Amino acid sequence: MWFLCVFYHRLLDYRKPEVESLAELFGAFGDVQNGEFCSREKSLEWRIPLYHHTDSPFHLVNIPSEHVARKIANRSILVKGMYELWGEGSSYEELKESILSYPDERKLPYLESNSTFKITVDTFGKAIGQQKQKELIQGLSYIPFKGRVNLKNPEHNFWLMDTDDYGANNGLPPIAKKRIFFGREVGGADRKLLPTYQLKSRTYLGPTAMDAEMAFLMANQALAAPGKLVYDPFVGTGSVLVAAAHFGAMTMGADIDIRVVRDGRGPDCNVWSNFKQYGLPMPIGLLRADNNLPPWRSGLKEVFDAIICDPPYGVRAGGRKSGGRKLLKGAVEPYIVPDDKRTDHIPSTAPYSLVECVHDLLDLAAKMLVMGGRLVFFYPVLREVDCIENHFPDHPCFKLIAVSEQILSYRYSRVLLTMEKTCPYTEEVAEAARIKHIEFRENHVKWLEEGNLHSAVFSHVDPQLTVAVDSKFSKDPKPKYRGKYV
Amino acid sequence: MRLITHNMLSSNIKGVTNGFPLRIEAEKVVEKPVEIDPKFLKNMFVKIDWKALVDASRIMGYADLPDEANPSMLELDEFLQKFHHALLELHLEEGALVCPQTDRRFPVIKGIPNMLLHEDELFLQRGVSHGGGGTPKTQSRTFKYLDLNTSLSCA
Repeated sequence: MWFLCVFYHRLLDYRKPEVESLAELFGAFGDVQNGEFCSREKSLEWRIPLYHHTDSPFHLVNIPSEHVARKIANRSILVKGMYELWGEGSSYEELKESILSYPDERKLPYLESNSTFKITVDTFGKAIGQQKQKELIQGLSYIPFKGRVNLKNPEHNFWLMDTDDYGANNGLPPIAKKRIFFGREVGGADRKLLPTYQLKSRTYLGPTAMDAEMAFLMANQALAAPGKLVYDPFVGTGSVLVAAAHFGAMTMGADIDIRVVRDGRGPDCNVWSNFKQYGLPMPIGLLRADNNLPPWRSGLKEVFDAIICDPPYGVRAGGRKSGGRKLLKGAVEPYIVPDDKRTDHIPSTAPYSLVECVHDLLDLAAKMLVMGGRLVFFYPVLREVDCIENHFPDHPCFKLIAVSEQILSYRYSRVLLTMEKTCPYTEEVAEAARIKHIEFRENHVKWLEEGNLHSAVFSHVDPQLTVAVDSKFSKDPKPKYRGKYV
Repeated sequence: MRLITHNMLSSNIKGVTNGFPLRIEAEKVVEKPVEIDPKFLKNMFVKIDWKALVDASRIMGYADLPDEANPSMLELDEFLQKFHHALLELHLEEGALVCPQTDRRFPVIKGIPNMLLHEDELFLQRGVSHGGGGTPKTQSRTFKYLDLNTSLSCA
């Protein structure tokens, strides 16, 4: 069944993957309740309305049932509304024709006299005054509404959506002709979550606490749900797990920094208090551990349903791992901790480079995720250097499901990678992964060196070079419009 | 620290082969009620090392878990309650986890186990460097990938 899916006009790259993930979660691709894992192609059919293009907020999507469509829309963060489309046209005359030709048996059940309804006029790229809106609604009188109007709590919500003639000001490439849609609302995102969870009202924050909207998107990509166990190996202040816990998952987190994970800023300002603040169940486990040397027992396999994290990639915060620099280089022998100092000894740590960190993460996830479990993490990309399509770390156990870019500055973006475990972890797989990783590392020599990413993002631009750079960019064949910035 | 965490952890000191289960030294045990989630418990049951859970719960002062358990018992409410209580409601607030092979104590403070290793626990023997080779001058180029080398030797 086709639905009109209208998105909030932001985080464009994240919109379709979110709907696809939720479709999987709510069984649009068949039931996966029995723990049976199958690797068949799982994606929804999408279409773009006439005269629109991929970055437009209006999309058509084929979802098996209205029930599933409603669940997807209500759980999502970026779906403004999912609608049963009753008609569309480039003018109000065309719209009328289209609505009148829509089968009565689909329309009449929602127009009955004992029902309540509301019609909302919405626009994209332009504004319509109150008076004009009223006229537009009255212009719909050819639809035989028999029910009563109820603006506060109607049973049926109808939407009249108008777009601008020309997309000059909405940051999108121009559309050839405007399009008007009329549909019955099936569901929509509960954006009230965002002010509730916004970072500025959270008690315990760190410098890289994940923005609430993004954390919810990550939790959706990870299919967080009741009965599942979600792990964050770089838990920090818990901002990612808070979102997973909101969706009912059990959470577990680790961090190498004991001050962050244990002490926080006092008894009422720590990771636990962040969960308490929202009345969420506490993480079932928090520990101090090194992602480079994970402390999991060897017999423990496939225990996590999802791993979600924002690894430290050295731009705003650098990663650390056990061992001193000199020690790991082999320049010094390990410091032997005297027995009387063992209890209070603070082990030295060394910088943990991005590639190494990602390698450890993939290895851990390959071992510890259930089949079909998801690994969701951010990966930084230098915008000038990389064309982002084929530069991501991969692993034989995982299938890359979604790549969503968020542009952070002129120079760099972060990309949310969603991977699904499609093959069990074996010795042979581990070996293949190791070879892949070495290849990856060789192709990214520049990146694996600690500090390079940081300087690429923050370094001073040589004024003499700027001119040359500018001309290079003006020749850039890729159209640069606001699309991804919103 | 709940016992579910204890059930997942082992001592990962290099060279230790029997790092599980960690012995619990309990100084302060608290009970924190958690809403029961049967689906989660059923998911976790097969992944739990039952004997380790039973032993750990006894040290924490809870002796109601049966010595043996099988998945059919998950249908019994009474068993589910006990399993839930042992797995998720018993907290080790202060104490330590002790490596069964080396007696190294991993402290548990404010409910958080500190599993970070000391410098001399990262390598198999004293002075064995996993970096190998020469020691070129620039730090960044010579940065060694501990995990690569160790994964070779562990594989």
